[in-house]
Amino acid sequence: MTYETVAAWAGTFGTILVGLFFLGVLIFIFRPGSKKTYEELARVPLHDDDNIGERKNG
Amino acid sequence: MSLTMRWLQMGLLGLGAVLALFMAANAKDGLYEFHAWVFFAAAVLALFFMARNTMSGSYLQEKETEYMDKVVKYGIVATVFWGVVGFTVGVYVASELAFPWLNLDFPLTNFGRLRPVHTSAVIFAFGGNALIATSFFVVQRTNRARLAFGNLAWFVFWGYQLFIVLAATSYVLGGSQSREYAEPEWYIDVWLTIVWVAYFLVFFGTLVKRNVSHIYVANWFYLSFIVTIAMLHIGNNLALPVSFFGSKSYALLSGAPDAITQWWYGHNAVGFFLTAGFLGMMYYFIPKQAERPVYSYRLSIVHFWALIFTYIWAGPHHLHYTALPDWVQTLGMVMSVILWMPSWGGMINGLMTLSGAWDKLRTDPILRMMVIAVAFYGMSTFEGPMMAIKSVNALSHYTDWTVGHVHSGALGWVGMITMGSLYFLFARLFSANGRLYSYRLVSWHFWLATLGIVLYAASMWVSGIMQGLMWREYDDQGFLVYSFVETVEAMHPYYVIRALGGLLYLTGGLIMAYNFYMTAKGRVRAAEAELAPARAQA
Repeated sequence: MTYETVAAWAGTFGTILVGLFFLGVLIFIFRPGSKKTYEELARVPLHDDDNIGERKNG
Repeated sequence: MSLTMRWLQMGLLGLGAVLALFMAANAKDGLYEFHAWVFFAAAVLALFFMARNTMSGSYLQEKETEYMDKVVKYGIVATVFWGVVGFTVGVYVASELAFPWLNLDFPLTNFGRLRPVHTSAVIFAFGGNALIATSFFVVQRTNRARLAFGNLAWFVFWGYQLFIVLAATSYVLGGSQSREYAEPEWYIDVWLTIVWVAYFLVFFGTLVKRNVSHIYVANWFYLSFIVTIAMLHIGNNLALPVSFFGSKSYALLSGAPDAITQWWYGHNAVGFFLTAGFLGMMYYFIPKQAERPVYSYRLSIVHFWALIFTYIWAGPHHLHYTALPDWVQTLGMVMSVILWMPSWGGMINGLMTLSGAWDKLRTDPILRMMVIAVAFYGMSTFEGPMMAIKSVNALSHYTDWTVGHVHSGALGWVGMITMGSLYFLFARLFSANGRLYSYRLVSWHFWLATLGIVLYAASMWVSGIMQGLMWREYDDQGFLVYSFVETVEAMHPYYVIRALGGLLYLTGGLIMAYNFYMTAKGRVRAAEAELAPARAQA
């Protein structure tokens, strides 16, 4: 594995893969029906947090 | 925590003490020998306190069903302490620039040695302790789990303090490997690596044993900060020591590859230490203080991935017009400009978290502090990419403009979000009645610090742009119009204003320390006592 092969890979497939991953993230977070999930997750810091170990979703 | 485990830990400390003695006995230079004795003293002290703690049996009282807050509290005390130390040294070195006689002609008090003491004290001692303490607090609360691996969190805390002491003493004694923001020599780097791996284990272990299904976004930012700093620290400090018993080492790389390694590290120290980590703070403490949910959780996810994909490429903008290949410089510039988007996305997310609670800014000085932090985050992440553009950089590089930019980010964003979170934690962890000694003093701190930053940044803009313009001024014969010393002379008044700005910021820090001390003592300022019930309801 030389510098040239790494650089060529990073400049082509690497870039595309990272781009696709990012696109995938965007598609995933806007998946239908996820609005409520994210609204709940946005409230995580506000939950009463003094109960250790109590299992709660998010 | 079993007794066997205790014996094992104490055995390791004993081995460490013996190793330190061995290092001291074979030391080839004074600095190395001094630090070997510091290692020895630290190991013996730790052994002593652990033995005492084991004999009293107090470690048996620690329950898995309680959050490990004591280490967080120690971290908060350390943050306040190192903050005041770092600001004080900062004001002193700023005064040295304005009045050079303050160098006092001792090597110890020379600007060249004190400057890294200032930068390391504020970034790594103040900022680092703040990050470790708040990350331990947030990871426990948002995952409903006690810190993993028992006493390891204590090793992280004390090990990190030892690193700070080693680094600071080596600078004043003249030991430095001359890498920006990574001045400590090889053996201190090795020590930090050990501490950092332990930090990663505690944080990651707590995530693994969490009692919730989703890992809250603040933890992502903290984790990316921990992982990336480990990678950067090792990559940047690849060096060969002259001897394993001496402090001097030589960098593995040289020339342009070494330069780009340094700024790959340097800029990502900004991106992941001073940005990602503190964004973790923003995503927890602003919703907490405002009592509002995060404006958009989706945006926070986009913010995270966009930020970590982009930041890592921005380093080359520190090396415009150098021996670095031209395409690398252009890449650094383009990536820096792209960074506008995630940075401003994050800023909007932080600010808009206040929607529906804007009125609280009138009554809550802590929230005001957090919001001005996010505003400064927006300003300095606008200024930074602009300065990374080659044609702007041609004017700004090597001038005080850069110094002003760094401080609007460091004092404005990092300092203010930290101090806002600290006030939240003072009231939460140190106060018996859940409130601070005085909210008026927080207001004073807020205005002193803000005014200090304005003086600092404005004077450095004027001074830096003037300096840059004077350097490039030619007469009609093609000769330089100004000599270097003339630019220094012209900058004098701005250096005085800068030192004054720093002094205001330091005063704010001292007021915070006083307020903290009184809060911990359980006192409430007499004139504010009647406000307490109203605040508790709000």
